[in-house]
Amino acid sequence: MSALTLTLAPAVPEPADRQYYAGAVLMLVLAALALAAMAADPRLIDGVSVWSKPLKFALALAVHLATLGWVAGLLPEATRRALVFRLAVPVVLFCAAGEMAYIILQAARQEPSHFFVSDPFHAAMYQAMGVGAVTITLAALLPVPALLRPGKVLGPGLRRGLVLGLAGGAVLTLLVAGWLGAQGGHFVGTPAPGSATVPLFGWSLGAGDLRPAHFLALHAMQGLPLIGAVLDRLAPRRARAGVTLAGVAWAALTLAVFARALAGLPLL
Amino acid sequence: MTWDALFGLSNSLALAGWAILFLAPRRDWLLALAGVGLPLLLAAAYTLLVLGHFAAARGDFNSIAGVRALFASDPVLVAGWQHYLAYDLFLGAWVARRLDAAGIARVLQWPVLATCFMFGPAGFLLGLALEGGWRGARALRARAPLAEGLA
Repeated sequence: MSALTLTLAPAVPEPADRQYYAGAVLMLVLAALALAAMAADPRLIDGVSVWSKPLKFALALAVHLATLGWVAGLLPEATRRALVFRLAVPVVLFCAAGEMAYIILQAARQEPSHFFVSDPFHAAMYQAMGVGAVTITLAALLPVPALLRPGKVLGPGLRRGLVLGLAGGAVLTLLVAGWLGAQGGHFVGTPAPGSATVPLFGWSLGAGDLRPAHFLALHAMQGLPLIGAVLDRLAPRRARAGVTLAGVAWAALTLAVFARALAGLPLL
Repeated sequence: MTWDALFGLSNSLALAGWAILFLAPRRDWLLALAGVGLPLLLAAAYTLLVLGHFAAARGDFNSIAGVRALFASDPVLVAGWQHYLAYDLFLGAWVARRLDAAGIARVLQWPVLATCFMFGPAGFLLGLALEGGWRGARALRARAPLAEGLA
């Protein structure tokens, strides 16, 4: 089995931004470990497995890092080689790995990671997580100027979907997540014990919950480019307008879900 | 030298090796120092301790109580600790070499190496899973390249 031989062929050198994909692989490995830990470890925080949060964050970061890697591959060579772009890669990967390290550490200790400021260490770590999360989110803005310039041949829908998705997603995420952080908890109101939650995601259906809006904001970064790519195939001449419409609808939905949660109303 | 002093010295030797793996540029001789030279030093100290003190320690390898009794002897406990230190460091260097060869950046090696350092077998698992996943993903991409731009 070649993976276990001791003499290793040296790696083919790859552009720095390929490391985003390696980071996504690391996150998938962590997700698998969290899933296994979930099965083996019965401990709970707030009624859900202590490993639920590491699982969700690992999956979200895997998707985000894979998106950054994919977008980097679409950029002109000169942009990918720009210093700020090459520097961003290790910084973002460091932040992502750091977030996961702390989330896993806290899960193992059966303690929350976000909004948990019981002592100076945990308060400092919560602050650091905020800085890391903002850095990871802002990284999605870096490719936007290059996408606005004509460069590599991209479908018009995909190009607009990328610009709207990355820029809009980053802005909406900073807004929603910033509010979430400032508020000090994800609920508005208190869900009754045992009230319904959205399966897998764990969002409350018994009180206002800011997490669905955070999810929609962040994943505009994948949703809108995908819609753009599909429209490029199905209706190439209307693709640009279609994506713009989809972007407006996506933002409106995000803000509506956000407003509903702020009013203390459950998602459904 | 007291057993405590020997314990501390062993820790320092191992830490020097980990500092190389985490921070130093990747040179063959540095990897050999961290992955072979320092573990060999620890192995030599371990061997001397076991030769001189194992027979006198009570206990055995057959039960939790037996192993706990072995570790009631300070020199055997230090030897046991050196066993951890030597093998975790050896493993860390092995994993680092593999991740280097797979083309995985140092920043992504850090979490793996930190896990090897703190919880050796978990780091072994994490490192090989990362390498396997990454090599698998690259093989997949080589076979069916992601339609760049989906166009």
